Amino acid sequence: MASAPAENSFHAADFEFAQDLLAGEDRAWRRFDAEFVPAIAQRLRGMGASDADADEVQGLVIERLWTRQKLASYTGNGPLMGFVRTTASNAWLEYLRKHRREVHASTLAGEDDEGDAMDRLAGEKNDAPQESPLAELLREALKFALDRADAEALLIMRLSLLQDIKQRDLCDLWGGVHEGTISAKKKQVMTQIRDDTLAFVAEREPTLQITWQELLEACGEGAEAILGPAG
Amino acid sequence: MNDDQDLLILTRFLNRFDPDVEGRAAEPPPADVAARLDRFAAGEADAAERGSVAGLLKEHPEWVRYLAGAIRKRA
Repeated sequence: MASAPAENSFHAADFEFAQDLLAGEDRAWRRFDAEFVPAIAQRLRGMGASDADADEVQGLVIERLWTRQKLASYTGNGPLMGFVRTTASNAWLEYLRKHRREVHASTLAGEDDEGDAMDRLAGEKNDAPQESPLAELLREALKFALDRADAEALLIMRLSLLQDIKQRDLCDLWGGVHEGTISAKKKQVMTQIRDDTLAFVAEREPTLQITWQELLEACGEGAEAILGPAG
Repeated sequence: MNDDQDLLILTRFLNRFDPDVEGRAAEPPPADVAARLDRFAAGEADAAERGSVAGLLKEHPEWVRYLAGAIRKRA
């Protein structure tokens, strides 16, 4: 069985730091400005934001963390940096969709003055405002990828990793194949899941430039930022 | 980071939406399905049956846990 990923451990120092931020301690906010704000900017630019967009969204991220008390939902279940970077990714996606809605609305209003463009837009599922658009996007992308994954390879992965079935037992079940064959199937299905997930995201949100590592961070140590604390 | 950890992260993420992804449902499979899974667990499934069972479990990941239990009993 693989060891549990780091996001499950309690990050006491980060949790205390977040509490200091929420308490408005100057020293904590100076550290936040020095360490976290550049990381937010770097993440936003890495995901395709222009300097001007990055500045605007950076303000939204800090407003969300502080004024809207998003930071209060951080439980220490993962590094604070992952939480903050994922909050930034979510805010960037929300910003992109808001911008697209505004462009679409102005286009529709220009094409057809008789109808109410905003009413029509309200019925469009994909562009409807969401509290956590990144979570929904990643969920849809992963479900798409899992649907396309090779069934046998996926079963091997689930039995091996999630159910702790030994590799040699899997070899026996699969007609006495070599362990290398089982390992290759696991590798193959993970590669396929990664490629299909990223392809789905790229097609759905062409302007959102997200890497596999950033996606994993959002699903793992940053999940609290887009889903709230685990129940 | 490795493939195992990647899948674990993704599964836990999806599990926040749908608890059945990891096959944690308590509901056992129907008798005919359980019989097929038992044959699979005994190593009696040929290539075609393996493919068929894998396809079935892809649609019903909640039954993977039953299969794993059957494999452990025979191991």
